[in-house]
Amino acid sequence: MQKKANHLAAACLSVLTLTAAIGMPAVSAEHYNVYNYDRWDEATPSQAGYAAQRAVSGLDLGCGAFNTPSDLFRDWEDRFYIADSGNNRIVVTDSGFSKATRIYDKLKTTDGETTLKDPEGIYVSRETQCMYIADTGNSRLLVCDLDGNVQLELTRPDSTLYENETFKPQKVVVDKAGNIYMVLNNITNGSAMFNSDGEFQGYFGANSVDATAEVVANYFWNMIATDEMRANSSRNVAAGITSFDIDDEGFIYTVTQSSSSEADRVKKVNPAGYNLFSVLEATFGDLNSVYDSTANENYTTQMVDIDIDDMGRINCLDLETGRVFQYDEDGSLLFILGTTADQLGGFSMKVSAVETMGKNIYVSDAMKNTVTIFTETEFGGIVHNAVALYNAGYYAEALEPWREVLKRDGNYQMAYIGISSALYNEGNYKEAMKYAKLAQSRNLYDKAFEGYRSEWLNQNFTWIILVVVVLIAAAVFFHFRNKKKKKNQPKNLIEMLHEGEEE
Amino acid sequence: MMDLTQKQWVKHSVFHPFEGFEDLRWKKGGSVLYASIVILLWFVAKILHDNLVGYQFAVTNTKMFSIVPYIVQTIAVFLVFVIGNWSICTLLDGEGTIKKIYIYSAYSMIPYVAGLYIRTLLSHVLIQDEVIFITCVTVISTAWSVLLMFNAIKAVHQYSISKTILALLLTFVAMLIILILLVLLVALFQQVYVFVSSVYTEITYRVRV
Repeated sequence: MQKKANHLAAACLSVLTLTAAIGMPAVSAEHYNVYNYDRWDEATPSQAGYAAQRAVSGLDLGCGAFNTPSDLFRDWEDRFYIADSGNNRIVVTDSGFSKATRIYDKLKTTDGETTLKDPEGIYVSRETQCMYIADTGNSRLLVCDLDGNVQLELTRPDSTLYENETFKPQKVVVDKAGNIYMVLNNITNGSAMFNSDGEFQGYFGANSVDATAEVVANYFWNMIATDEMRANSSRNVAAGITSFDIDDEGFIYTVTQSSSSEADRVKKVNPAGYNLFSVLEATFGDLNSVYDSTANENYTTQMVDIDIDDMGRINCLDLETGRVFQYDEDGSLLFILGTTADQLGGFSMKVSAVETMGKNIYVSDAMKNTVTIFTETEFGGIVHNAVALYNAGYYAEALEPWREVLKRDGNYQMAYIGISSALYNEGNYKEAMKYAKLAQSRNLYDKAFEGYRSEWLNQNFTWIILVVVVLIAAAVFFHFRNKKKKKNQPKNLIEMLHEGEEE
Repeated sequence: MMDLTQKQWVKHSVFHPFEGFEDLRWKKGGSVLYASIVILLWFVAKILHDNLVGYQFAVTNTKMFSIVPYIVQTIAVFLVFVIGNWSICTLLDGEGTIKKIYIYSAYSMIPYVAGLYIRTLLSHVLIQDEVIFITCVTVISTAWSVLLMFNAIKAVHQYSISKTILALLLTFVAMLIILILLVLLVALFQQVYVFVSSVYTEITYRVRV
């Protein structure tokens, strides 16, 4: 009896655990609604590609709380540099964000010491072994070695090219040749470019003015306005660049925080200053503005920072919604992560910078004074693997990962394109057509259809020729027979009568 | 001479763009039944073309199918054209009755409708590089229909060329006016409906209390 009761209890327990396992939600444990855009360009719930791990504050690093951190930078040894603007310092941490390894607040110059004031940008160059600090509050850019000895101090250039009164560097990048590019506050001509000796070279990567109705109207009025009126009217000026990053090949990617202009939101600028993304049909950021019913406000994407990771993926940070949009090198959307919330993975309305390392994405928040670390999920890993193979041209190798992606998220748009391309390369045109249709890619479908058609023609060529020959023969035969009949037949009596009438 | 059946009249008017409709009018040919069949075929062709075109040539990604736009784009537009043309040409000494205008303009739509079917079929055997064939069919069938339509209107009202052009332009204006009036009417009736229904609701509340 006792034994039976035990058995019963065991059975009950196993059933309970089983139902518990089944009842567990299959979705990720993110605190916010993860979404992606489906084939109709509509936001659809999606698997999370990244999961928020933890939020690191200055106290966690043992260097005192951050105050308005405004830039993040990772150097070649995976040390992280945080521009802690409010505390007038640069904090360096190890790759795991366990503790602050170094703090730069006083820098040595040839004649003593100098302090930072509200530094908003930081860049460390492997080639020059130098640290570039945009010392915004002091209107200068400091170049110093890693021991904190100032090598060069850039202030407002004395060039006729530089027309602005102020000189407020906010973000800085350095290319492999040591040329310094900086985003200056209130400058709309693009980023200012200095050579390695600190001489002003000119501007680079300016935005263009969208031909909106207002711009066209202004152009019209300016044609008939007097000089005096023109002097009083407002000028059409493109929005200035907000932030930028440089990739391994030396291309500079810029983001512009502007609610009006969509074209220059994210640019990939080649050395000639031409935007390589202008040919893409892709829209960066949210496709439709997001309506918040509690605040009664519409949020349109306003990119504040961009980071190109080691795999060439583009991560851009949206200020309005606190989201990171991750794209592959061709501008196809991979994942959207983050939100505005108080929970882990959520941000205040003042996110400031994004940085990456391997599978991690780091986002700094200037109001929460933290750096949040996101790590790639299993799903994210599969997608990244598939995308990397696909973009490198290994379509066949990418087939299995793409199928795995579809198993987990049937709305993942790129997977259909990947599978279709792989099947096309295999010569499986029929299936490739099916997947191209699902991917809503007309060009892929067209290519697959062309292959399918020529295959079909090759297989059925004999039959087609046979049918054509028979048809021609039949046509010729009936043609001659009808002619013969008409000749031999006597004319219709009524017809003859009619002919007689006409005569 | 020219004792043709209704079927032969259809063929005659389509393949004789310049004299066909004059003959048709002279011999009092043309049937409402065949005209209606043409318009129905146009309606079907439009649906087929938009939804079953080869995917490499598809313009839209239809998420939901609704028949209303197709009715509006074919049958409704045609009827509005007929009514608009009749109302204009009655004022401009046109000789055509509304029945004749209906028949003649339907007949002149035949090449365009046939073109729609041919395009749909061709789109399943051609690739994007060979789109010129489809464009060719589109241009020829449309031009043919325009020519027929012009001569149909000219014949049915016994107009000169310049007067036909004027009549067609005015017909276009009349169509716009009719559509605006229709929209206004619908909006007005909607308001009347809302008014009546709210009065009804109020009364039911009072009755219950």
